[in-house]
Amino acid sequence: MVIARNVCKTYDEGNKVLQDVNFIIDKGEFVFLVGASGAGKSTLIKMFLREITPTTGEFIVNNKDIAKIKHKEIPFFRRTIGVVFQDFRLLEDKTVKENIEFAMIVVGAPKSLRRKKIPEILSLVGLTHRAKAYPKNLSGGEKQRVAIARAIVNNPSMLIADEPTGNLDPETAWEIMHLLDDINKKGTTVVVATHAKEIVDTMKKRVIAIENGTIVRDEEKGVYGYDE
Amino acid sequence: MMSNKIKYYIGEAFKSIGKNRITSIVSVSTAVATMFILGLFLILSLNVNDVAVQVSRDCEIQVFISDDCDMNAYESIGNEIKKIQHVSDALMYTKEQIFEEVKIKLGDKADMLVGLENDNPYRNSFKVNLDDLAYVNEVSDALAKINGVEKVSDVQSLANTIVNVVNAIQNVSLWLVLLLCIVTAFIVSNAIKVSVYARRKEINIMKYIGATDAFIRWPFIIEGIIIGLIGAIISFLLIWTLYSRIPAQVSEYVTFFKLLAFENIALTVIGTFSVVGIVIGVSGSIMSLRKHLRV
Ligand SMILES: Nc1ncnc2c1ncn2[C@@H]1O[C@H](COP(=O)(O)OP(=O)(O)OP(=O)(O)O)[C@@H](O)[C@H]1O
Ligand SMILES: [Mg+2]
Repeated sequence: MVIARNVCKTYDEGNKVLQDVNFIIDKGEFVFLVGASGAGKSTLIKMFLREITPTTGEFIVNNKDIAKIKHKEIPFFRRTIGVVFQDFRLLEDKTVKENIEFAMIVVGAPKSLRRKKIPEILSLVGLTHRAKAYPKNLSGGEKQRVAIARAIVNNPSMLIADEPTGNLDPETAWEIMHLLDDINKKGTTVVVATHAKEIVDTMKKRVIAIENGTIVRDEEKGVYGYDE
Repeated sequence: MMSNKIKYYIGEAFKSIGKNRITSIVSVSTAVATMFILGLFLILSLNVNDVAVQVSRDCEIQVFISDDCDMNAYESIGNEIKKIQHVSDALMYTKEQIFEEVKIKLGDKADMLVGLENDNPYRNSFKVNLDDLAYVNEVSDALAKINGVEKVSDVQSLANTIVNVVNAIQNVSLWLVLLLCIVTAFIVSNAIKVSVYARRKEINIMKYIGATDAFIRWPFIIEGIIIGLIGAIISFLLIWTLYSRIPAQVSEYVTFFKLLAFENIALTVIGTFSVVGIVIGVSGSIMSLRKHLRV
């Protein structure tokens, strides 16, 4: 569960990027975060990952006030949250399987668990046949599937995606969104920042809209609401 | 689980070294140069030390006792001498023994001594050995202060020279090697910086996945250690090759002492090199990580 209470964020230069942001996201929800470029979506995403903390207000993830997490605890906090980005961020010198396994090695998962888990995840994201391929030989959609697999392989309670379909053609974008929806249906909370109007309008999920750092709209079964 | 991680760290460290070949070669070469010079000083110092030990063993101070002392007083002076610090032994060497030895030395000309038997011109004495040549001055002074001691033989100048040489070599080499080690650590730290830069994308991903600081840092520290150890091994081989060629050549000219055999110093040399290599590598990478890897 995520609670944002009167969250403001001001950068050193003094520009207010977030102003009095309030919302509650329950466990198991699927939420779209929409808004024009520069509205503050990525800034909010960074707070979910505890890359930044609010200047004032509280941002609580899984009962933890992120401002109060000690430096040493940050890695363990991040293990409860999976993240994917627009630019995939795969390791080019590792195969699909190795990229996913890397996330398990990082958290110290034993080999037996890795052997069991990786085929499951590969099949979930539909990449079993590409396990030995290197990222440079993958399509954009396949790359994003690898990134998603890596993000969920350690069973996080929440999956955060910052414009996961930004580099993909509409058809592939749909496939990725359906995959995120499948993952959500298995119980993982999913938060997606996106510009994909058609998908948001069709999927009928909760939509939180931001303008100039303020929430202007928060509705169940919402729509994108802007002309792209 | 632990060994899994260690395997990963070492694998990543070697990968980094392989990828950033030029900086790795530069830092290994610097480490080799530093340790080679360290090795030269070490060998010099070990050999001079060995000479010093031999000289200490051979070198004895002779203490002459006044004729006013009777046999009891003579013996008790011996006990006093043995109480002086750094005196390892004090052997009685009576005037009769001296007389006999002089007679033997004179050989044919021993008749010079005829008639002197009952009017022995020599003095009762002690042969005093030290456990450490460095204290020859202190011991000589203490000996001279003992009641009944008439004269203390003078061995100080030779001893002082040897002690001074040993100290000078050790001082110069200590500072020079320390300086070189610092320079090397900086060069290693530069190599690590390059590796950190080459892996910045990976480090970023690791942070998002939830890697601990230690997990991110260990491969770089091990990279430093590997650079240091490779440097240690190469310089050891160089020193070995060089040293095994010297003794034959030198001993033709220098006859008063023998160089130590390499097998007697090999362990000290490789041990010192390994420790220095690891210290250089670890400090180099820590310097670099503190600056360039804020996790
Ligand atoms: N580190 C920073 N320092 C100062 N200002 C920043 C920083 N990061 C972001 N900003 C500013 O904060 C505002 C919001 O940026 P953010 O990246 O959150 O927008 P966004 O909604 O994700 O936009 P987009 O849809 O283009 O990704 C922008 O005006 C941006 O310039
Ligand atoms: Mg953004």
